[in-house]
Amino acid sequence: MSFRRITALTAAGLLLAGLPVGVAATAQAAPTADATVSVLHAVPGATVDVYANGKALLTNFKPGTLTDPLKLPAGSYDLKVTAAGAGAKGKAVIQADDVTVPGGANVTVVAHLDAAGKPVLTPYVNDVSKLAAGKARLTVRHDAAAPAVDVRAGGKPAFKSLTNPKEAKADLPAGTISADVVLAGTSTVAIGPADVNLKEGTNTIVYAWGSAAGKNLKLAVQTISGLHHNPSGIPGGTGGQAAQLDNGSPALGLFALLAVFGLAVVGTTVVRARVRS
Amino acid sequence: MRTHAADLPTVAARSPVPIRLVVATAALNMAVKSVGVGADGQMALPADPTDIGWYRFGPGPADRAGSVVLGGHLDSREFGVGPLSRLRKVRPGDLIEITMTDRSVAGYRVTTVKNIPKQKLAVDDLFDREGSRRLRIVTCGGPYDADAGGYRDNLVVTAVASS
Repeated sequence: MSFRRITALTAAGLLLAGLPVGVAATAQAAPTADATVSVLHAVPGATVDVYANGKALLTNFKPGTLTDPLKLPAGSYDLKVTAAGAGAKGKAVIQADDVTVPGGANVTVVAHLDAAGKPVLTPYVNDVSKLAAGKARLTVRHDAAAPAVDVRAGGKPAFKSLTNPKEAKADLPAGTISADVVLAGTSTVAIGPADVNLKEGTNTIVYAWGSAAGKNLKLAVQTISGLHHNPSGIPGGTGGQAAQLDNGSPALGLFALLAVFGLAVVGTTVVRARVRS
Repeated sequence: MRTHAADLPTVAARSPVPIRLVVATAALNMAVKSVGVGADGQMALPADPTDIGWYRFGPGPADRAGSVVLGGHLDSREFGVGPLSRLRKVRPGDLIEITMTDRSVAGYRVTTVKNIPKQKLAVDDLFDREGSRRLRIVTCGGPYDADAGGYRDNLVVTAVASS
């Protein structure tokens, strides 16, 4: 079965199947916007299937891959991850019930290891607020079986003492940064360095995942675009000379007028020139 | 649901960037510099009015959609009057050519030439990153009033991609 077909079935199935009555009633009273949901697989080594409220959401989902964003009705979802092909009743590798998906939000659900190495699901709400023109947003998320880390940009700590499964973010000038991850408070590099292109008007979300003990710490990246603001305008010239040329009354012209027409006419010309220049 | 590898994006071959603007009918032949945003939130422009700036965060001529924005100073206290003082001579139908770093040339045909009061400049349309492939060349226009912050208007030439 193709991913697309599963998605279509799931979107319909989720509404009918598992929504708690209270949430459904609320949704009827005041319909909320759908949520935008992506799923990242960040558990090393295991190809899995993902079920939402008992329906297959994803099959044959490989570590280090991310789904395209999916529109889902706001609500509460029971999520279950099984080994690929285990079936809906198969043994759960990870189970998370009543995962809240807020209406209108942009959410990434991450299957990852907790600090102790146990597979878990963490839903993150992505910051999709608009950015000032020329800026980019960097979000970092600690989803690795590893102790607290500092994330450095250009060798300097940008985010300090980040612990699993916390996140940190900042709005920065767009451009490429050299990022690495070190054990908190040290210069012992755990991941990287890697060049990360912070494209203007995007939220670039960098995930540290894998396991320190398994020696497979890695970075994964998700980019959300379209968050840009435009410049507020286009500044003008600073001289005013071009306008004077347009008037046909630069300094020499003024002297000519003086000579020909006399003071009274020059007086009005000067007044006009002041208004226009 | 489609999935893809969440790898760090590899540094792709950079798209070509505009380096020269030619408008024969207005005797314009200017170097194009890539520019961003000034401290005041406006588009940053090259200080020298003999250069014109390309808003590098928006679409470029090689992109398949959106509005390419070139902007330059009409004149400057330091450098005097620049070639963009001739931009108002441009007429609908005129050819505009932009040469890129890969030596390819993008052609545009002028559709409108308008003086727009700065406060009324529709920046969201001007800098639109979607829609048809078009070009905007913007400089200053209208009367100059040093006490009111300089030129009153923006002169905006709009052109559509012809090649």
